Amino acid sequence: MAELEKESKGNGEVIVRMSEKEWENVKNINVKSDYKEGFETLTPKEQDYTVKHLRDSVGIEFLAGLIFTFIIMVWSLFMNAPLKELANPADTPIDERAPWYFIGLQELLIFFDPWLAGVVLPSILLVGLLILPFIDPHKETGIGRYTFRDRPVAVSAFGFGFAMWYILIIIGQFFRGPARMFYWPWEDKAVLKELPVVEMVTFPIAVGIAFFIIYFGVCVILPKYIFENFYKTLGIIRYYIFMSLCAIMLLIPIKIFLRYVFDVKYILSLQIFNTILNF
Amino acid sequence: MERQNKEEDKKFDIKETQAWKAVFGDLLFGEFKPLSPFNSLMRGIAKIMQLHPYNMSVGGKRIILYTFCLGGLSVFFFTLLACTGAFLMIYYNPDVNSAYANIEDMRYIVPFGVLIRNMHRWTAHLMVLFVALHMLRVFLTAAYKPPRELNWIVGVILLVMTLLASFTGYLLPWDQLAYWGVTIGTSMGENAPLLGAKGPFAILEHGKDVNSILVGGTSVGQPTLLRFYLLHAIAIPLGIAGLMGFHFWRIRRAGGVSGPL
Ligand code: HEM
Repeated sequence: MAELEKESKGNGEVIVRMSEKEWENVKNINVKSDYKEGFETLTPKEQDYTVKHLRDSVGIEFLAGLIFTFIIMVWSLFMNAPLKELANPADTPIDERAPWYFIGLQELLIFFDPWLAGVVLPSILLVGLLILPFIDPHKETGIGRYTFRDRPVAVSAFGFGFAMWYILIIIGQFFRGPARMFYWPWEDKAVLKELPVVEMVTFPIAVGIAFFIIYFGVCVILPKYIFENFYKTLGIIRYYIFMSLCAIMLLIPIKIFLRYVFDVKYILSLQIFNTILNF
Repeated sequence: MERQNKEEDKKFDIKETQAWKAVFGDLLFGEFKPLSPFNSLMRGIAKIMQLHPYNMSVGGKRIILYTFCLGGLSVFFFTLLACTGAFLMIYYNPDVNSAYANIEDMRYIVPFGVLIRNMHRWTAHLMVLFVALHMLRVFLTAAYKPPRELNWIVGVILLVMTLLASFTGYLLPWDQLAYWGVTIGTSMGENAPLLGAKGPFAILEHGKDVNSILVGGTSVGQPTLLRFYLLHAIAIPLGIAGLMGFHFWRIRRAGGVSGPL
């Protein structure tokens, strides 16, 4: 078994004690002198010696698989997958809900019209994810480690979106009862809540348009002058894409807030030809 | 004095017990022996899968605190789903008149049917969850940056396909949950701008819009069940498997997982 014998201080030499057989294996390898800590550039023969790494990582993956097989088996033994009555197109259940991973979208349906909640917003989300590697201006920062301090903007923006997605799912899954009404955990979901009879407001067109102009002005144009350095590192195209995506993302909690606090139905309701666009 | 020292040396260390060594010894935490059969096996597996590059930091134990095995577990769940799914296919017929009864048979008659069905369902939930968490990990470690941008994009497509696989599978039991869950989901297509019949600026009629391509008619019915079944059991799994292969190949080309070095 090869062992580290001692490390001489001055010239970076490392003395290793090994058996004759091991020496046979390694004597023809010329070890490169410039290697980073824990990372070596290896010749094919040396590759044998990285088996330790393989054994560790593959072994751990194997163990993780084993643990989850166990968890899934136990879970499946004690909990049955749901199966309700036979499908009946004539009988709409009062608590119809999408599977949990889409319940965030169903939650959005409460606050936005279906074409926004179900099509446009998810598409923007998807496009945002796809182009994300290209709108991040720092091509090298933070690769290979968990860091917030070095990438505060990127991590905050992504973290915000990711958290919002899961909060919507949790609310949709656990806090909604019949007719998608909000129920606290201690409230009985069997008791039907009456739909509140409040007159929901829609802003007049002028106010709505003004709202969006001011909103995007504040969110997209203004930071350009306040955070000039930020604007310069991103460059004009990346800056506008990034800020617009963030502004759209922030509109979701803003609309939810307006709905709950001021009973706002739509911020802007536009009629174009014979189509009504509600935001 | 000397005796005391000896006693200290003999402090109980679970890793020195025979039981520990027998179970975990060479497997996980043992000393490195170049020629042990287990090592060659591991290397063989790694070679076949082309996943783990040789040239990597020695000290792989740390890697678990880096990837948390999230990608690896997604692969594992996918494999488990393929196996249990193949079993379920034997007893399932995508016909609105028999689908529900098939599932009931699985629960009450087919040996181990209920277990396999449960495993398939719960593993699917886990896979959706873990793929999302894997994405979070990749983001937080900045692994989407060059040279891995393409792999991020492939990953996003994998995420969408994973969601679609779950969603199409949701309809197959043909119970109330499935029917109405999918009705809500597919009704989104109806509201697409331009291409959906009920969306803004609709240019296509009801029954001829994007939604009807998915549903195969104006409402969820037999054509929907068949389409979802084919997507769920053939098209999407093949797509995911192919993209996964590409995903891994790209990891290799990038010189392995991004860290920790
Ligand atoms: C079916 C879904 C997926 C499977 C089976 C899968 C599998 C894997 C595996 C096994 C790895 C190796 C490292 C690790 O375990 O973390 C990996 C790495 C990676 N995955 Fe995925 N993945 C999936 C989805 C995704 C998604 C949704 C994204 C991002 C949007 C993504 C982006 C990446 C990237 C960029 C790497 C390289 C990471 C690095 O070098 O540190 N993958 N994937």
